[in-house]
Order: sequence, then structure tokens, then C-alpha cells
Amino acid sequence: MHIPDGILPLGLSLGGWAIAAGLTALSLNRIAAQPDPRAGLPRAAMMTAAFFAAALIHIPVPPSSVHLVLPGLMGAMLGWYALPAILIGLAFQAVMFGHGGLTTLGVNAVILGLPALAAFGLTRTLGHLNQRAAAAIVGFATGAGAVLLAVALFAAILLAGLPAHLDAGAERAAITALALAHLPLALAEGMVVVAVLGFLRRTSPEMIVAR
Amino acid sequence: MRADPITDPRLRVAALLTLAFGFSALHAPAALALMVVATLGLVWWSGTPARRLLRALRLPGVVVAGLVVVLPFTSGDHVIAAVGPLTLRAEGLAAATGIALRFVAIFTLIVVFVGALPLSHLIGALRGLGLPALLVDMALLTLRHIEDLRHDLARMQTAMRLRGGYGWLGRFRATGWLLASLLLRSHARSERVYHAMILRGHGATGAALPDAASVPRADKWALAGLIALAASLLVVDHLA
Repeated sequence: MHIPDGILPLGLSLGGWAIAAGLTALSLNRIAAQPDPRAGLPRAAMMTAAFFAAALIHIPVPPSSVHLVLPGLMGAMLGWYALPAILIGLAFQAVMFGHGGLTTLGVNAVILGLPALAAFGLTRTLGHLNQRAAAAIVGFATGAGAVLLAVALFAAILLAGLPAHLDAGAERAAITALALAHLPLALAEGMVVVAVLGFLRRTSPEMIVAR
Repeated sequence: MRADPITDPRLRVAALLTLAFGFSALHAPAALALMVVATLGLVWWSGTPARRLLRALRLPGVVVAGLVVVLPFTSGDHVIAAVGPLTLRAEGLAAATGIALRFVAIFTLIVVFVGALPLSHLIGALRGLGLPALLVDMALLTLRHIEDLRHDLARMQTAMRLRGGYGWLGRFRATGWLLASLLLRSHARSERVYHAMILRGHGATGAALPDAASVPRADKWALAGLIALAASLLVVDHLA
């Protein structure tokens, strides 16, 4: 779900950087307004490292396997720290593995950052529900919904930014293929996030910032 | 091994961004050809071994290859060849060629300018270029945790495999618990490390930023030359 360099036109790449910079400035502003802005820093760094390493966690989904992306969990656990954390994680992935890109860093941060902020909003609004079933539904919606939103943004930006126009049939086929390819990831991530949040709620609820 | 085009990490980042965004705006065949020549020249100038470049390109290249293979057969109206149900179209072929060349060129720039730079130096350069302190601290602390987390993850995944006995659905829950345990364990360590960093004076007011005046003159000239190169390519693209 990372757009590499060389695909998007300059305007879209610069626009992505501008939006990512604006969202990061907003996040830093909200963090600065907290009583101790640096209190969440160790957790944010730890989650950024987890986001970076998530590509190493493969879950078998026949006939293949998927690796975690974690925008929903980032939002639920980090709140306003999520977007800066995703930006740093993506920058490290681009420089160390060539995963994603440099000119597309802003666009990729928006693709994963907006779903993370949506997950933060969802968890903050409904995360106080204590019944096990309700908490599980919110956790699943957080994990799976964030992935689906990221896929929708990814497909929209990629199709809008391709330097050649696809015909309507090919465009529909591409969107369907993208959605079907990522559906197992959304389901897997939804179930994993339910398990993570359930575990943390029982053992260390203060780690879920948006509860 | 020849000399690096630019030695100051801040100017390397500035040159990388200027050239990468310049390259991403090129579409005309003449400009793309000059971009390839300029990229090869930078590889030669920096002395980057071709083997290292190809090894680094292997994984990200696969992602782009998928798109580059599909586009010539799905995009455009002008058919230049047909094999059975597949029709090769001029517009799609041109777009795919442009994407492939720009991707390889920009990726090569990353390897040439910051590939051999330790990440801690890169973060220092970004600090020197005005990155907010909170982001710098988060990046440094992340860097500190990545290896620990990968090591812990590998050990816990091995333990999970050895325990075995998970059904298909149970594996999701087991993975979630593994991740949660990993986060709990890492969180305590992260707090300790950050407090130790502060005790050692990290982030204290008065900590010196790299001095802009200490940039070697040759670096300034090299950066100016690379900016001129990017501008020239944009002009060629515009005129072509």
C-alpha cells in the first residue's frame, strides 16, 4: 500500500507533501497542547518501530500470506502522535528498504495517516464501551476499517495519478482486483487488532491512549 | 571508490530532494534520456558499486514491475501490436517506460546520496534543516528500538511456532497476543531508554546545531551544480 517514486505527477506528489505537512503540524500542535507533550514520545517511538517491523509479521491467508500494516492500531494507541509516527516509519522504510518512495512520502503518509486519525476518532468515541462484544466490534472496525480506508485512498490516488488513462473497464477491473487483494488483509488486521486491544485493556489499559 | 558528490549530510538531503522532485516531473523522451545519463554520471562520480545498487533495487523493483507490465496492455488507444487477446498500445508503453526510468533514477539517487549514510547522521542532517525537535527525538528513539524489536519479534515468533497447535482462526488471536506482549515489553524499555537519554543531556537547551558556515565550499558548488542540472532537465522537458 505504498506508492513508489516515478508514478505520480509532480503536482500530486507536492500536494501529498503539503497535506502531510499540514496534518503533521496539526498533530504537533495538539501534542504541544497536552500537559506533558513529551510523555507520549517513548510509546510513539516504540509503535513506530513496531510499524516498521510489521512487514515482518506474516499471517497465512490461503493461498498466500499477508503482512500487517497497522494504521488502525497506531491511531488507537497513539492518538495525535500517530501521524508523525507513520511519517517517520515510512521515511525509514523508504531509505532502508526502498519500500515506498521519497517524492511520494507525503502521499503515502496521507494514505496511512488519515485512516489512523479516523481510527483514533472512532476509538475515542466508542472505546469506552466495556462489554466484551461491543469492544470487540469497535476493535475490529478500527483495524479492518482503517485498512479499507487506506486501500480506497491508495486506489483513488494511484488511478488519478497514472500518467496514462485506463479505459473504464480496465479501471473497474483494477479497483476490484485491489479491493479483493486487500480484503484478507483487512479481515486479518481487524482480528489481530481485536486481540491486541483486548489483551492491553486487561493488562495495561493506560497504553490505549484513545480509550 | 571515488569521492562522494557532497560530504555535508544536510546538503546531500537538499540535493537529493531537488533532483528527485525534478526527475519526477520529466516526461519527454529527450528529458528522460538525459535523466538516465545524469543518473549514470552521479553513480560514476560517487563510486557506488553497481552490485550494491542492483541488490537494493531487487525488492522495490518487483512492486513497480507489476504496474509496468500491465500498463502497455491496458492503457491507450493506439494499438502497435496484437498477440491473441493482448494488444500492445503506444500510450501505455510510453507511460510504463517513463515510470520505470523515473523510478530507477530516483531510487538510484537515494542510494547514491543517503544509501551509505548512517541513519543517525541522516536524522542529524534533518535536524540541521529545521525538522521539529519532537520528530527528531521520535526518529532517534525509533532507530534505537528497531533492532531490539526485530530481535524480540524473531524470538517470540519462534516460540509461538514451537508451541504450535493453533487453528487458522486461533492464529490471528495468537498473533495479536504476540504483538501485544511485544509492545508491553518494549514500552517499559522505551520509557527507560528515553529517561536515560534525557539524564545524559539529550535535548538540553543550548545543544549546538551544526554550523551552516562550516559547509565546505566544494559542497556548495556541487549543490549549485546539481540544482542547475535539475533546472536544465525541466527546461528540456518543457521545450521538447
